[in-house]
Amino acid sequence: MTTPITSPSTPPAAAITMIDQTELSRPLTFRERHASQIRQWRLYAHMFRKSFSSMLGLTLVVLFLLLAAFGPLLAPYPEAASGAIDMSNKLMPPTGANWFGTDEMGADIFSRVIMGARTSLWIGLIITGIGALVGVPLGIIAGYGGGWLRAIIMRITELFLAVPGLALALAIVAALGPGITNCVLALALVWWPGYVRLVEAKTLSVKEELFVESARSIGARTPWILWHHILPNCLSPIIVKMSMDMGMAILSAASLGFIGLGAQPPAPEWGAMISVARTYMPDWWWYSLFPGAAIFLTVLGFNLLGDGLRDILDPRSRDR
Amino acid sequence: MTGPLLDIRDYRLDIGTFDGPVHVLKGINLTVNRGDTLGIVGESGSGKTVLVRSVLGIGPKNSRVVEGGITFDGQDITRLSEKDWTKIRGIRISMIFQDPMTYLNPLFTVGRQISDVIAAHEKAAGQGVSPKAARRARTEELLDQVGLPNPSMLFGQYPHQLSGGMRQRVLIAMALAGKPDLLIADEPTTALDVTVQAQVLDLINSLVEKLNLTVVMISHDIGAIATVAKRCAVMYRGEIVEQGLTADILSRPQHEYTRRLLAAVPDIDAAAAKIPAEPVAPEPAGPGALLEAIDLRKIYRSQSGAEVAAVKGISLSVRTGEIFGVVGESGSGKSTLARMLLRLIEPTSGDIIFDGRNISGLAGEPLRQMRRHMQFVFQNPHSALNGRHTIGDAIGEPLRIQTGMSRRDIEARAEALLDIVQLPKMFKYRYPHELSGGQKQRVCIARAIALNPRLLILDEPTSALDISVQAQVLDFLQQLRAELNLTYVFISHNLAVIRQICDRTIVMKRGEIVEQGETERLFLSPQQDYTRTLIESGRKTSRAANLADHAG
Repeated sequence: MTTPITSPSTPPAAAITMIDQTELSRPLTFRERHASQIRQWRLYAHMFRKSFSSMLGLTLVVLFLLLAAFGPLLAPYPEAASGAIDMSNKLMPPTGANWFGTDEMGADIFSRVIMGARTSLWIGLIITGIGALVGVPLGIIAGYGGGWLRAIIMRITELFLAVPGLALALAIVAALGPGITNCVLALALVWWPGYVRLVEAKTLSVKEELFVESARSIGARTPWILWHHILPNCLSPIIVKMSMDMGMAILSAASLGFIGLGAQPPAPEWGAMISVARTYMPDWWWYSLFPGAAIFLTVLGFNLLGDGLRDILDPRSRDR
Repeated sequence: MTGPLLDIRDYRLDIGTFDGPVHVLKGINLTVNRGDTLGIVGESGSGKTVLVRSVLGIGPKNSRVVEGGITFDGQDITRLSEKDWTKIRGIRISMIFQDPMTYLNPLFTVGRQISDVIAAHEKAAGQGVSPKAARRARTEELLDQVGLPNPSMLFGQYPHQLSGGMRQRVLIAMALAGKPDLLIADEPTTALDVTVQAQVLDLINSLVEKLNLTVVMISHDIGAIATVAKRCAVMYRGEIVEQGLTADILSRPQHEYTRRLLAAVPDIDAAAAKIPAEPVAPEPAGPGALLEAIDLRKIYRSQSGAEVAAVKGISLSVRTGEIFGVVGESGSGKSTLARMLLRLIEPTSGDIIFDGRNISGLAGEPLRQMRRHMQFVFQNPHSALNGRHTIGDAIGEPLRIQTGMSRRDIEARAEALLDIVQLPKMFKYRYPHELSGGQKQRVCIARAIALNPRLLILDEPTSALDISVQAQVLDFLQQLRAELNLTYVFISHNLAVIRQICDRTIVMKRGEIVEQGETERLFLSPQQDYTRTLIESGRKTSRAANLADHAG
């Protein structure tokens, strides 16, 4: 009686029918049950690997994550990060013992750059995390709810977007007092409007989809629709934005550090290091060069990764 | 001038995908002589569109010609450079596309778009571009040729001001602008209403005669092909399984697939052998009525304040156990009506009575409870399923929302439902994009019957599907109704389908009921002019396709 229609129009149908023949009463293995997801992930990996810039971005990000995770083990002079002073070795150019040279306190810059990775990761994660956590729900509510609710949320969002984010963060830190915690807090406060905008636009288009109406026709409540239908379909652009924002957040925190409002010396924060190093330019060039290069490569890595993710997650660019 | 105009020899085309190369075209042999009209019939995925697009050099990306080639008027065009294509595309070979809206730029006037095409052709041909006035004259001549009234006024109008049929005519005019030798029509009538379909097909026929055009038309609608094409080829899974004179193929199909395809075409002139519903209530509406609508209205207010009535005071009564047909062309308000019956759209005024209870005032929890008993099957199964949910999740969703069943019970029920709609249990781990259209529609039906509803509203459930799949789904729907004791409201623009399965039918036009009654009576002796026109237009293509039945 079971005569499934197999149309030639679906390429993966071959995979389905192949398993069909073995359809027995035995429980299916993990691989069989998740064949679809496995294929999808392999497709993503395949497309990602084809692009050089995506792979470069991924390499840089992985390198950065490794440094953040194992920094204290990798750094040759871990004590350099906590303000150890060795005046006999101060401002030494790069040598075999100090690959990136030493700073005005004689601390090893190489060690300090490595130890700074963890601070930067922490900053990036918290800022984008809070930004998304606040922005995404607001965006979904604004987009799905419409009416005055949307008007209120979007006007407030626009208010925030109208003021340059860094300037606003600057004002907040100045009010709260300098320090890395305040700096992160201030940046998180100005970071969410971007997510509201993005998610609201996406929600507006997703909510017109037939499957949302279909869910309504079977009696789904609004929270159910938001969680099960709208959010999963907004996820791709959110992931892309978050990966790109990681780089921007690190850069912004470094900027605040550079003008002395972020991490305070001797904390090994890249922005703060450049801030001090500025006075030693250009004779002691290595002092600012290496923390600067660290910021540059990290931000570049996250941006390339985000670009690559957008290419594979965007259905329009999906030529399978 | 000797030799065929278009000659396709042993053409094999592969498309490279992640899962390896897909053999889309497998050794196509096809010749088209000057003055020929060739129809290519095939279901979606049979490779017919890829074939004609290859003829125009706009084949899919990542494709590779494995073997064979295409010769156009003695010139090998299999591997032409982009520069050489500009001398052929639109000038020697033109194409009409399926959806007339998306192929016209909404920002420019119709006249401007056609004159631009003329200018481009002149440039490509190496002559100077003729002055604006001359191009305007030529454009108006073209618009007149495709039977559009008042070309000089039309010249300054924008696409959105035209109806679907007029837009398709504009596209045809545009395709004729370069005086092509070969015109390719890719499903030129699929997106149009029945009455307009017939007109567009007539137009193509008259153009063939007047301009001595050579036409290759592809369609999944055998009726449309039969109306236009003298010769026809049947494509199936990348192969041409049969070709010859259209009349021969229709009356004496040789290949097994062609026979199946022809058998699946519903015949507008055949009184259907219906499976009678079990509890046929012969007495008129009253105790037997499951769903009633009283004077339903929906009025939309545009931003300028103008009121547009989508549905104007409709009253109807659906008896328990019957299949109630709603037929009408696009814009007749039938989808709006269906959504109002389910309270997916708020009616402006009027009452909906389901099983003796007025549901038009319900809100919140009572409305949610109500939804268990009446379910909707959407027109387009491709977008009615959330692409990020597995089939198992999709079928289990109504149970998770409406019942307190445990996860394990829901899994079991979803498997049982897959069984009912005759799909393998394996499918619960699959995602919608991995299924074919017919399979997806079965999933949508499984989802709709998960809560054991009493009423199903089916909004064009087969119009997005191929003909042979449509027949299967229709059979299956009738079977299911008998098994589960369901009542259907069946909405369609396809009269043959309506006649095949509906007990009673209403005909809608511009938000009003034109005529209603027993389906058979409606088809045998329509009382209203509109119904007659509708049936005549439907008959035109249907009859051509059903030559086989009448001949044998």
